[in-house]
Amino acid sequence: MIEFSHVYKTYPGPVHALKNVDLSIGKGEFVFLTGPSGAGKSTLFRMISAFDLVTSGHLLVSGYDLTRMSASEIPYFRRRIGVVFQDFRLLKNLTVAENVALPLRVRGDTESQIRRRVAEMLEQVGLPHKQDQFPEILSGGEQQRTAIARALIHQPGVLIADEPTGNLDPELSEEIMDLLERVCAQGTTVFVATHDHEMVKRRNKRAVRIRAGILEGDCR
Amino acid sequence: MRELRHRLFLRLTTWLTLTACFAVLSSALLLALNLSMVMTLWGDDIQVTAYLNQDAGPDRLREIEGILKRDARIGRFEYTSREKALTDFRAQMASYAPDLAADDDLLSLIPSSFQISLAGSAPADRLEDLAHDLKNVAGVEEVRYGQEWLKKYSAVLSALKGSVGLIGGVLLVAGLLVIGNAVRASVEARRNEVEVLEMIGATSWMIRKPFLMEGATLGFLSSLSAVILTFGGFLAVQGVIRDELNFLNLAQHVRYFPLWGVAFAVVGGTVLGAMASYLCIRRLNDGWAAAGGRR
Ligand SMILES: Nc1ncnc2c1ncn2[C@@H]1O[C@H](COP(=O)(O)OP(=O)(O)OP(=O)(O)O)[C@@H](O)[C@H]1O
Ligand SMILES: [Mg+2]
Repeated sequence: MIEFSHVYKTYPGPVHALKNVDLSIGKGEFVFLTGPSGAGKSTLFRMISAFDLVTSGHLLVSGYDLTRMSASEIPYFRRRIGVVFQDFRLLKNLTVAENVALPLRVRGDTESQIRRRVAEMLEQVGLPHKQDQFPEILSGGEQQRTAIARALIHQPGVLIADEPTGNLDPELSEEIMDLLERVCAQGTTVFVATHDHEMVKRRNKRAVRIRAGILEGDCR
Repeated sequence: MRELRHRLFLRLTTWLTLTACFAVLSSALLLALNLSMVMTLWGDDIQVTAYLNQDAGPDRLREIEGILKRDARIGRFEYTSREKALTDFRAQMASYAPDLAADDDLLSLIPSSFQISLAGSAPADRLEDLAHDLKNVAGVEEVRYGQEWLKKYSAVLSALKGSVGLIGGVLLVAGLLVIGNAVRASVEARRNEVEVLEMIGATSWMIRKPFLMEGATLGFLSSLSAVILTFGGFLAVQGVIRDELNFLNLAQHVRYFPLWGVAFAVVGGTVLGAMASYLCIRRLNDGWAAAGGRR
């Protein structure tokens, strides 16, 4: 599903954000990415979501070769993945349901398909009663669940989440992690970056460690 | 809420500025259009008058008539005998200066003449050639036409066309910048939205469309209101020409833009708006942008 081989990323400076990264994540796996601040976690995720281009090496995601992809293919690639950020990135002028529906709108689904699917998705993240509210009045956990619903509504093969619980208290974090595990159990590959070592230990999943751009630990 | 009000305010000022821009531009065009129309109108009226020698007899007269008939540049001509000229003159003068009109010596001062109109429309230079040729015809004493006036008029007209072109160029660039500025502000305000749309796989067309629409809408509304404003101004000026400057006899000749011209202006304004916003969002999201181009 996700295949890094000899990936380097160098920013002007030069800042060597990723150095010779080799990493393979299979279909339906749940993997944590840990590492200190500035280690390159977000950089790795930006490569996977095609928000940035690798400097050298190869990167395959969901069957797309991201090192050879043309700019016009990028939107279609992004419809095969789901992305969640620490800061939710909900559109504040849209309701919860409208935010969640966005990926289907972009894809051109019919209104009835969208309504049905949004209802299903909000059910899954436990927010059916909030569908007509605006994100600003929701709690952090509810906002993040909305963002996760948006990232999953188009049934992507891969979900990447960059510190999805970074802005949430421990209880809400557990709630979000439970949700992500359920999603994974349904067959989606889930790749989560986090600072929270305790949680990684508790969850007992595969964890990859990165430090100064170098992958240095991979324990299952 | 304050943000929304600010954006509304920005759009309003952009709309007003653009309307002013387009209104000045179309007024200048309208002025040029009407002046050149008046020019051809008066140009059609221009006659060359060839005054004959006092001693030109009937034979000479017939010879000159023959020459005038053969000249292709001449459309129509009419002979005015000195007696007729005198009668006309007396009729005109009778009320102003009866003494002068009664003076019999006048007869010896007033020459007979040909009033010559050109064939077709008469550019100033052709008129000059003809006048020159006529002067060389035996028996012609002097040739008169509105030469000074005509030359000045053409000079004014071409200066006017030049400055309309210049003003137009400057205003179009100003318009592009003003629209571009408004669209850039709204891109800035919606940067978050653009990133989210990119993230969920919106194509660059989907992301750009609202901005293009915004630019086009601004261009459309502004050019439409400019056209309406100019029409109002035109009606007012037309009224003045009819009521106050009636002696110029122009009221029925001054024109507003034809309908196709109005349509062209509005479509042009819309296209200009879309183009301006296209120019400033060209690099909004070219695939790898959101991260690399995160400023
Ligand atoms: N666009 C960029 N230009 C230059 N340097 C960059 C850019 N993006 C990231 N970096 C650098 O790359 C390194 C890795 O950054 P990255 O954001 O991936 O760290 P991170 O592991 O996500 O840290 P955190 O846990 O604080 O989020 C840092 O040194 C950062 O300064
Ligand atoms: Mg980070």
